Amino acid sequence: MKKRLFAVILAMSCLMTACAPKEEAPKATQPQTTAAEISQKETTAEGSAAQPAQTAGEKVLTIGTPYTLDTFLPWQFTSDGDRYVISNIYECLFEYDANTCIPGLAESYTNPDDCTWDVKIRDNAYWQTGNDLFGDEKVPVTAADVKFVMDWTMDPANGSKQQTNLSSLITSVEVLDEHTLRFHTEEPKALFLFTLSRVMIFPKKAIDEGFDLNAQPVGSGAFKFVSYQTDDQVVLEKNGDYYVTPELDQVIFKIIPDKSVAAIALQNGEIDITPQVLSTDIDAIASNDQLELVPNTLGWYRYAGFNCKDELFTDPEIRRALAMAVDMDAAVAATFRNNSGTKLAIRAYGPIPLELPGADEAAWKAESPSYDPDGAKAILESKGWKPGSDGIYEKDGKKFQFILKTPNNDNNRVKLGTIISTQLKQIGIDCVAQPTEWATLLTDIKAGDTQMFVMGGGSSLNGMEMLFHTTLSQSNSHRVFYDNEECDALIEKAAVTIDQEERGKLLLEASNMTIKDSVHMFGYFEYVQIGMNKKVTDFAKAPTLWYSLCNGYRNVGISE
Amino acid sequence: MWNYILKRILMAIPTLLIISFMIFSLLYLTPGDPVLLMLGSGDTQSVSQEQYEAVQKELGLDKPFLERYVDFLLGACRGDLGTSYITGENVFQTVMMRMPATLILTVSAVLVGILIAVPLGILAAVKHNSIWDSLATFLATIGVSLPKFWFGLVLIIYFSLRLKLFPSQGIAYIDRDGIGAFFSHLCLPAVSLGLGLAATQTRMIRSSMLEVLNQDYIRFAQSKGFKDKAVIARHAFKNAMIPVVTVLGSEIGALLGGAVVTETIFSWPGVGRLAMNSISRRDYPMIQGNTLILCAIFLLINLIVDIIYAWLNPKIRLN
Repeated sequence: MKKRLFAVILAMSCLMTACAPKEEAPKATQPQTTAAEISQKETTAEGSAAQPAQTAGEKVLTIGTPYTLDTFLPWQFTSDGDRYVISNIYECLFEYDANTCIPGLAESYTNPDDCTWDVKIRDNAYWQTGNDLFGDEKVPVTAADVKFVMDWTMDPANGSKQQTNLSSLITSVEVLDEHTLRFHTEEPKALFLFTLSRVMIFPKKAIDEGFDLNAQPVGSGAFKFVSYQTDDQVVLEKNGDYYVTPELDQVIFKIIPDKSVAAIALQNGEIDITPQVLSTDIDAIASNDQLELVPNTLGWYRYAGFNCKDELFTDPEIRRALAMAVDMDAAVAATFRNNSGTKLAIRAYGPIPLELPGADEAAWKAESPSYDPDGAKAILESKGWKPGSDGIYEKDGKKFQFILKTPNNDNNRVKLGTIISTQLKQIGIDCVAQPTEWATLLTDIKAGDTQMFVMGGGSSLNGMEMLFHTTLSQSNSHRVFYDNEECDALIEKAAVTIDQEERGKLLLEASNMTIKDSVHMFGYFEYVQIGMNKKVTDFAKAPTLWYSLCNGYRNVGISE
Repeated sequence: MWNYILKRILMAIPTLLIISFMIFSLLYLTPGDPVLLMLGSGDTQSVSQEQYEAVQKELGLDKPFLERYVDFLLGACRGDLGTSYITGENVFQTVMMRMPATLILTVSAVLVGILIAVPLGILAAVKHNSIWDSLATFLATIGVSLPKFWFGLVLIIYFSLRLKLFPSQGIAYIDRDGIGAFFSHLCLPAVSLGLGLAATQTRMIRSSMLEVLNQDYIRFAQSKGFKDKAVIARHAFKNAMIPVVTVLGSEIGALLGGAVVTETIFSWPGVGRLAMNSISRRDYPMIQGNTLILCAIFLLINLIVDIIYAWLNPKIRLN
């Protein structure tokens, strides 16, 4: 029996040893057309161990990211998690933080005319060395490299996720000299720089030689790829050739899918930054002397949208009545109450985050319906709705009842939905809040298979297009079937107005229309809190992982 | 015996076919659009109708149900389970890449479960109707009832956050982090997963042992003057193991594919987390391939369990 037991233990030990992942050499010469090589999970850059031993005095920043990594290919990523990592390896011409344009690979630009943009890139930008693509040769990034990336991205055959955006932005690119490019657009483009902030520049040589950038990413950014271990962590190290010397020697992105556990890891000192602290963990972090909370740069817009094609909601007056029946101030306060007094959200009176052009809270307030349940009832009754025997409004034998779908992956939005449905019931509207799985909700919204839904987004410079434009909102998750030619025209005009002040006025006018028509029940702007160790320096200046931790604008470090 | 194994392997083919059809049909009926999710059209991104249709065609989602199923089946017969919609990775490689982490966790959880369940179950049976029996039954009931996500978080809060004994998340590799880090990272997830198994097994061992201890041959052994310990170890325990092994086999199969919650909470890079991620993003090839591989493993475990039956009780003939 003892021998058997020993044999079983021995077999299990062998199994566990056999199961332990082994180092694999980088796949330097594989074709780059698919993302398959990311599956060589312990991918490492040339000459590096899977994770180099940390030596004394090295400055290492560990970030807990909730997202699984899908790709390292700079033209394939769509998720925030991918962007967090690869924005440190690759550079875009420009970066955007809310409404602030930050230089990336480009150092300046001029507009000879409204349809021409001359962009000058840095003359001290080099492709990263110490990899299989460039070896130790210091190769400069040239305007020809950037032109190649633009042309390559616009070619549908290459399957870049930025193809549509870029093709609708520029008509052609010229190289004026080694460091200057000229972009031509068909018409003036207000979001020219913003759109370029989504296109990462990668080496032409990689495409020419079939080098697999997914297995070994090589860019011109401040940090070099060292290793990736499946669903576990990515390690980057500083690029000594970068024009700003990074404060950090190493950056480690640890993948922690559960945000509560990430908050615990932060408190334990296992990580230094977690990008999204749940409201349930706010108090614990706020009360910890070693830690601080930093709000995201701009408030993310959240709303309850009406399906304007649904027979219940075709009439803007009815939509307005429903908005009047909900005490949104109280709803937002109840949803985001916390003991530490941290500002987690503010009431939204319009659809544009207050940090972006077009936002004007005072103007929106003047257009917004105030909380007035009796006024709401009066509107409903003037439209022929009468309270039934059960207190629910009826018209032509049909009850005023509908479903309000909420995404079940966001507790705050679920809470908002519950509060809205409860308050509507109080005036005699049978609204049922139904938490719905995210993917299902997206499909339902796109197909128009919703009556009312709680959603968020559009919190960027092209937000109005995504939220309200008749055709541009067709394929996304904000489809409210709002059909207003005048509003469309204003949004289109704003898109070709380069003067930011003028553009802001147009967007404000368009947003006022959506308020007047009560397309949304305007909810709140959520300031997602980033939990951070106080040892981290220069991060709060631009608290986002959306772009590199080191560039001309910030140089994140960690104090001893 | 070899004939029996061959027969079971052949019987597995129609089972896998039925399973593959069920998975495919269920995914087809499940709401949610993989194209939208692949293009990242969530809160922040906008896609054109042309881009949407191009991707839909590229993924073959514009084809009718049967054509898609036949394509999948033919690919699976050739050993090609397809490529992920999201990452473009080969499905088989992706699952296999994560399998070691899941195997390590499962084997450890089973060890934890057995180390707790065997002594506790035997104690409860031998000291039937005593305080020990009540205590074991009470602990087993608690163990079965505790939700895994809650228990996992409690373990993290007490043993990691408060006592600072273990890291709160992640995996460590022996070659990268050393053996100490390997076990300290493994401890909490293995205990979290293993305690549920221990609870079920304690109940199984208790009831099975009780039944065996009342058999005539046990009384005969006792009447011959054998010591109680010898009777339990040599005669009772082995015979009581048959139902226990059956349940253990199913539990191991379930753990391999179903440690979703534990793997997510403890940031353990295994197959369960991959499945969870794939489902939420409607990565059909990954869900289909993952499920099919796990079903095949499940069938294999059942086969092993049947072979162990014969070893435990030679009266059971495999043929």
